[in-house]
Amino acid sequence: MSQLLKSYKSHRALILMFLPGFLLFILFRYVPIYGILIAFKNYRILEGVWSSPWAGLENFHRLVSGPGFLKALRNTGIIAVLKYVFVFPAPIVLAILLNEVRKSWFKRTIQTVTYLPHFFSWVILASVLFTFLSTDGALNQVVKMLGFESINWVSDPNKFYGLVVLTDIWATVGWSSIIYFAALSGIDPTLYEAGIVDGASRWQQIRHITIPSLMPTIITMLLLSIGNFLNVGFDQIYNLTTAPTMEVADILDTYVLRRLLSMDYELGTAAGLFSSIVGLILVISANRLVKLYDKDQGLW
Amino acid sequence: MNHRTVGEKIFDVFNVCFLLLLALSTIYPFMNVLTYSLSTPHAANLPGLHFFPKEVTFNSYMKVLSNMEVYRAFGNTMLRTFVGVILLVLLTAMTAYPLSVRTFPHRKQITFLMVFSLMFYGGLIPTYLLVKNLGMIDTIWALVLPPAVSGFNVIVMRNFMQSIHPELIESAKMDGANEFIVFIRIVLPLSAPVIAVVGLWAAVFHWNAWFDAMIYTSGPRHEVLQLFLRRTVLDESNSFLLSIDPARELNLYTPVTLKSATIMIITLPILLVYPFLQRFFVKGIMLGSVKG
Amino acid sequence: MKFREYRKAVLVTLGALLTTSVAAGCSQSAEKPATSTQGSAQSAAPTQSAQPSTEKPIEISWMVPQLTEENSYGQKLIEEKYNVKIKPYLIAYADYAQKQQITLGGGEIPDVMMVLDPVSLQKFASQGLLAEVPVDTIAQNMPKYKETLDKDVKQGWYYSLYDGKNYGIPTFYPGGRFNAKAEWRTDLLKKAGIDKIPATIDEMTTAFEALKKIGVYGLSSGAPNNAWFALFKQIFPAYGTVPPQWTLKDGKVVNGAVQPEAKAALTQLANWYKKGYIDPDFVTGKEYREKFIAGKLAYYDYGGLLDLDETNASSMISLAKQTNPESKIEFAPLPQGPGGQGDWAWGAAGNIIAFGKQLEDDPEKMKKVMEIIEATDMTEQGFQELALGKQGEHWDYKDAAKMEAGGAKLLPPYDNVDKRLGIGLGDGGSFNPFTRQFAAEITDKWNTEMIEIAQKYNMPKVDLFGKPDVLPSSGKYWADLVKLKNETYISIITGAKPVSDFDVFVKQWNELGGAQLEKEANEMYTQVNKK
Repeated sequence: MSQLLKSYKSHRALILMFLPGFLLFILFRYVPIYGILIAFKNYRILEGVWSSPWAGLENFHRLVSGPGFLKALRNTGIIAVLKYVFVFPAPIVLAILLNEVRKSWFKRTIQTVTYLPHFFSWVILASVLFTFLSTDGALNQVVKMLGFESINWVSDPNKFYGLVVLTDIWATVGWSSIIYFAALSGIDPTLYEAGIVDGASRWQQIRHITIPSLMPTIITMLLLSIGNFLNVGFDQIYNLTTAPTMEVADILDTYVLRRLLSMDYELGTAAGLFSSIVGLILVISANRLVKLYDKDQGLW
Repeated sequence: MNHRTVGEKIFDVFNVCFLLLLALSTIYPFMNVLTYSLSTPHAANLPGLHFFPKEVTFNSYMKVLSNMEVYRAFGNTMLRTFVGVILLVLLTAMTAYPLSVRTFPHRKQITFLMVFSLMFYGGLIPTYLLVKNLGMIDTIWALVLPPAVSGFNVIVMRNFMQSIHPELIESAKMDGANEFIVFIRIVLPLSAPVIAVVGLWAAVFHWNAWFDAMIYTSGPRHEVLQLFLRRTVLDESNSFLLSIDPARELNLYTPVTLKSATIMIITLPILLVYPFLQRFFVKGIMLGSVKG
Repeated sequence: MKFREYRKAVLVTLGALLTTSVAAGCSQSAEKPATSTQGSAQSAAPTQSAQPSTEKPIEISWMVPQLTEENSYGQKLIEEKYNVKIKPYLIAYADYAQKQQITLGGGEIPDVMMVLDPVSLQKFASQGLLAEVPVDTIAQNMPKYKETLDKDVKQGWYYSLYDGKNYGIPTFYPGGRFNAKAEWRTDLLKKAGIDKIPATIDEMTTAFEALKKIGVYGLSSGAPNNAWFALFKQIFPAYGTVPPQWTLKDGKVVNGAVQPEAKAALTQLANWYKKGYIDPDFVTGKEYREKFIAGKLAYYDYGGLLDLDETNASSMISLAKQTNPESKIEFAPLPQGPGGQGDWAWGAAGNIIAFGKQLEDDPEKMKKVMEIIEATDMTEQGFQELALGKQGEHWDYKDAAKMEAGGAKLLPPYDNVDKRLGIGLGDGGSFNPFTRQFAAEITDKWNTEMIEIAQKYNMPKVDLFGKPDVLPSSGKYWADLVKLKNETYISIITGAKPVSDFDVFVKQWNELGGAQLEKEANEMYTQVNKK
């Protein structure tokens, strides 16, 4: 105890610096957290959250008992895994590739151009994609020029996950890579100079200097995003889905949306809580895994 | 210039080609909206890619910019972005730096609270009631204070600050600097890249935010750009898009070209922020700032 | 989501009508509209106010789906005329449903509020937020309004119904009386060797075959929200069903999606698709209109009243002619099939005006609001004052001799809809921010030409309840059912599934809640109609 007091005392300047932001954080993130109770309540607006009658697990039962819940969960899981395997590394690769470009103006231009899709809603992105990929769209013109039949890119269930992964990379890679550019700018250039003196090839420089320097950032981003594992991108999926692909495109979010009556706060909260708990379990496990590998890494 | 092997040259060529192709594809949505915004009604109603403007006209822009409500919304958005970014970056840095000090008390628990908040959230109604009870409805505080300190930003910044060499801080302290001076003179300049990133995130967030503005403010005086966009673009029945007199004006623009022009006008300013910030991402900037 | 789909659908038809009324209003004014929306409105407060009252005005909090200025001209007009003080919640239409939910969810209940769809009304009522509005009270305080509802807009009463009681006043939506136009590219037909506009399904088949030879798709589908109601919406009625509308069949309420007639239509569509008459991109619904304009498609089921107006440089016909001067487009009768002909329409009921629970204890206030609505929406004067504004300042007769029959012209700067809405007036054609839509009998007089076009080939098929998801358990089942219907229909049309799978679909439909909804639909129908 006295040790703790001593620690407070020796850090009082830091604590003073820390408190304003921290209190604000507690105020807006933890004071309203009682709202989670709505998931276990039969929420009566006029009575408020606390006084509303308890509903036990009924809202969760409603959540999981609808037709197609398991299918939606499975689809969500598949898309989430695919996105972790393919979409998550994409910005890292882009950052490394751009790092290898010497011309500064080229680098900057590519950075700026690749982050553009982030500023357009998926309604617009899906619309341009559908035009580009339609049966007589630009891509199929090329396909036909090469002597093939035009291909059904958007409404074929077998191609849907590919479509989701590729378009997600396309839409997010530039924006997501910014944090890695920042991390790259933290690398001491003398490391590369020393590497060159030692006769390291470009590939060796990437492997032994660039990637290790990016590692802390990569791990942090991985751990921070894994908490949202089940949020696989509602806007994207919703806008890219057509009737023939609904079977494989129905994710938890769209499933919940279909049974969200207006003002059905209970079901919405229950669904959110479900995703959060899955996320929490994943974050805790992943953090532990990372710490097994390197004690100094990990979020806490 | 050091000597490059054949393999490296081939890699360079492929790399540049790949990046160019990627850029060509990612510029498409932007070009598409730009093209529509500059199109005549005839050009806008042709099928096809709409990658490059034909039959260029500025009529849609003139129409949108002649609506005084855009300027008011612009002012509101500028204000919330400006205040919001400064508050967010400052408070996030002030929260992140102590957490980056490994001896800081309760460091682990606090960090866990931050991570926990990324997943668990009280929901719309309790948050709305909180903001209302704090008397912030229809004030800028409702827009800039709730997002000011988020677990995500704090952790990203803390992570970056942890990589600052402790010797730099120790030597400054040896010279008699207190924590605040260390923070301002050493930590902040050395964190320039991550501050630029978080600042960019914050700027884009505030610029694009509309949901909080929709629930915490009301009336025309507080309208932000994105709400203006929603009102005029989504609200096809009741908006100036329909104030078009077909006989006189429809040959100048269509709802689609007006919508696109509005999107362009709203998006261009925020697009310009990043190129400006790019100079913080130059290799060796951290070294330079310490020496300088 | 459901709400958005409705609105989209409603809007497009409405949009067509609104444009026409504005068109009717402005074609004579040659000046550019002034665009400042601030300032002048405040000074332009109504001058010819009603008798000055010594009584203290009744204070009414009123949730308005329109972002007008504060203390707008329209608001002051109501306040002075009826001796009330309005405390408005001004919310842009695009944000209205969401913001209403949050405001009410936070326990703040306005006295008067527009509720956009029946599903929300049911939820608000179930939470005890709304005052019951006995139909008798409506009959007493707004007799003309009630009479018109009973006569023309009967399904409106389903919108305000919850648990057997009435919770609001249904509003009018005159645009819903009309279906969209069927249009043919007659230049393409001619090029393909067809001289007569195909009037029947069989004639369509012949025409499609001929069109295919010149590389033109006959049919597509792509009206907004293609998937849920607009899918080939003029073909199914030709077989005698309108999926997924509720309809009366042999005295029983059934859903059109699962009738054998739908199977017959699907058989034909699948056949057409196989033969290459249908544009495969109908699945995404992209560029439907653009392809028709460009002449890649011969038939269009989402035409607007102004599409053939050649004086308008960007009407459908003008745009088509800019692409190809030979272009020709004609309105056509809806395709005739073994089951008749028709097209989806929403019916003339709009939204609901509801009252906060607190008004159950304040009948005077409720009465006052009813008085305002009756006087505004049902009278010529109300229309002139709140849809058009002040004669000579905001509008004038186009032709003073013809009066309203010649239509109104909106005077600059008030010929700008934004400007008009900003000062709390209507768009000049059909509604105002506070009491919303006027009765058709009032507005039709001002738009005779457009109404005439709208009535041509008009065969609207309206759901028995106006909106198909007003049933008590709709929230639980409807979205799943619609999803199932879309998947099945499109799979059958594109040949991914055989037509025989329709029978499997019917079984699934009933298991997924379709049977339950059918039961409720019959109960609700009997209950409302035995009165």
